[in-house]
Amino acid sequence: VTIEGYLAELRQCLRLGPLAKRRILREVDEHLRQAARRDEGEERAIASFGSPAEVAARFARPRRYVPRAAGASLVAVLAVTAIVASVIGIRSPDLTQTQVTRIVRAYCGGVNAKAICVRVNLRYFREHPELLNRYTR
Amino acid sequence: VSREELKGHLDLLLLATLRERELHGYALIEELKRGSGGTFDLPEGTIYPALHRLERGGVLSSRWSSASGRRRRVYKLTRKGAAALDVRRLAWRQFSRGVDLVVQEA
Repeated sequence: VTIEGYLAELRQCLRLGPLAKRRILREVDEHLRQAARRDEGEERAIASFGSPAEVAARFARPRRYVPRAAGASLVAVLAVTAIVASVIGIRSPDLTQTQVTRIVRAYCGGVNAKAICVRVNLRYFREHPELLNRYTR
Repeated sequence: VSREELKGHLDLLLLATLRERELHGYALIEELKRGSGGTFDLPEGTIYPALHRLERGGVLSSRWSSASGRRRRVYKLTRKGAAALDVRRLAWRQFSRGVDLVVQEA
């Protein structure tokens, strides 16, 4: 196996974004070439590094359930806000400016409270990842 | 030293090796080997994932560096990393002292 062949296999095994993948491949490439020069041989350098599948598995990041959940919550809040604003506009065209402002303020207060709850949950699960794993298993 | 035995100590070893100067991955492995008198001849493929993880955790930072026409990623300890090293070093001393006491008693 050559260094090029090893890197091609590692590229296949890595389950990461293109930027992270490129950076890792460049680092590994540099490492293997240096090791090959020092230890006199590509094969030995590659063998010392480990199989592409093993190395790729070590680079794998834990799945980010929480930020995804937070992102989904934000999208849901924005969607609901748009719907509420549309309904107010269509159903109550005779509302005064002050009344509309009050409704929007009350609604924003609710959204803010929800956001605080989400932040507290995020912090809690960061401190207790084992609980998150239990819920998402 | 087996891979299993090293588990849990790798971060401390990497942080301690980077405490005085920035190093690229290969030099870091060499330095670990040299500094431990050959005890820590780590599987090389384990070092880079650990470095990336520590960087994501904010305890290391890295940049590309050019030396004799080659670009290498060099790593250094951040301020948060220096604080983390102090904490881990203290924990290690307590742990090793405890193990020593038990082993000597036995």
